[in-house]
Amino acid sequence: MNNLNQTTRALLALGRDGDDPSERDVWRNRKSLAARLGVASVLGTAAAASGSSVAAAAGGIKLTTFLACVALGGAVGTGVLSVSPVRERLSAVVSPAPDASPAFSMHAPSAPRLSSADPHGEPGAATVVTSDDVEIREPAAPRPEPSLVAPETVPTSSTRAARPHRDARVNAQAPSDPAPPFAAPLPLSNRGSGSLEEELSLVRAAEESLHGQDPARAIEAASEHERRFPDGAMWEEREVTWILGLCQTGNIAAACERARRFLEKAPASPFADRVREACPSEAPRGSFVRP
Amino acid sequence: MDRVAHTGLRIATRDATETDTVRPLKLAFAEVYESNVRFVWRTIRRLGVPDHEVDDAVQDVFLVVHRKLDDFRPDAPVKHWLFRIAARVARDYRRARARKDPVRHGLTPTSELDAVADTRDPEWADPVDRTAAARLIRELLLELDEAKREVFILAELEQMTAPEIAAIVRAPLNTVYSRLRAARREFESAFRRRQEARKGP
Repeated sequence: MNNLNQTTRALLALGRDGDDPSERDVWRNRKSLAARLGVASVLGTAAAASGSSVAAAAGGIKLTTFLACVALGGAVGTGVLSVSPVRERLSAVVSPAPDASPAFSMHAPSAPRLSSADPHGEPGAATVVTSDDVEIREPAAPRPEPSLVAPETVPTSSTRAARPHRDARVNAQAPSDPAPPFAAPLPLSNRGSGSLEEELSLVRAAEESLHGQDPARAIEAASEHERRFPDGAMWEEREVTWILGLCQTGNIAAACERARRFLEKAPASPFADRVREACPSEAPRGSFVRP
Repeated sequence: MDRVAHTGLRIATRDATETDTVRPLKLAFAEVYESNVRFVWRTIRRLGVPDHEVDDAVQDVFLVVHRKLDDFRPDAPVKHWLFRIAARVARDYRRARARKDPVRHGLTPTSELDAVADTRDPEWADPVDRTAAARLIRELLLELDEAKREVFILAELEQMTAPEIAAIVRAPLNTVYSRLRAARREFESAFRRRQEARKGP
């Protein structure tokens, strides 16, 4: 029974969807969180896709425009390459601090229990961990300054005035940074074998070749990845880069065939919309307009 | 192991290699994040965390999730657990703010101007788009106490059922009903006061 009046109900109906984050908000949040965890960002392949869409909205060239340029034989700008999903994922890789906790993974050892440094627990006392709840008590003592070395520490407003590490966290993420060693397998996929570092290296090479307007090299790196890691954790990124490379060479038929197979295999992939945009005739369903 | 549905629904599978001994089901942190970050974000906003601190607060929620994930037993939807964590994090932020600014008692100002200046903005009481409406709702929510604010958010904005709300806030069903009735009354009164203030004498 709802005894709200009509005006109030109208207000709620109007504002109900007004609190969601934008894609840029999510992208920024994801990157910052990964940095605070001190691990390579593996917050879902949706991360890269969302980030790339944000980049597209910010001014990159849409793939449909790119394809139109290809069809007309026009010059292709580099803007479209700035929206590659792989780049967003790679750019979120950071070098972990020496004492950072291991990669957040179901296969990694559990993160250390809360210590006296935990700002959401009483100093000197471990927070009670129940099976389905979290006891977070307001600390009696001032909370310690946050740092990447102690990722368990959660900064609060009292420490937020001085956050020298924050910019460092974000600035530490650059596409050119070398990939850090991975402490444990990442929870994205149970498929394939081989180290993720090697996969990342190949996919990055494909990505950088695309950026460098060398689609042949990009396709070569992608095919190498397929040969060595056919069902690797980064197979989706590989395929998307391969499809983009084929587009760049003007081989639209091959790009669309590859896109068709990708969508058959992974219709719900976070990259699905991107792939559909590359070859609109392959998947007319849904809207290409991201919220 | 099946992946978490992107609606953040309860995990209903177990690893085929597990024995019958009791063992926490494993969740992938990345999947929990992607499935629920938007829910957590809007919950944090609605619970009164200032706009410029929402991003940090959402990160704090997921830092807790990351620490506790191995101990989470999915006998209830992840979303329930996340709401409780978000409520605690939001409370910490509001208390910290109240300590810094006791006059406002942790309330989020709509702007740096005082309330009188706000009334000159037509959207202060009569929003024309969903962003303004959402902001007005958040301001009105701050006039409720925490318990009523939570049930109102879950019922009127997340559109959950009373039994589900009772499970999340861990209160008897009758308590949820009475709390929600009171919350609706107070919310509506706050809205009416604002509309009347806008009209002026």
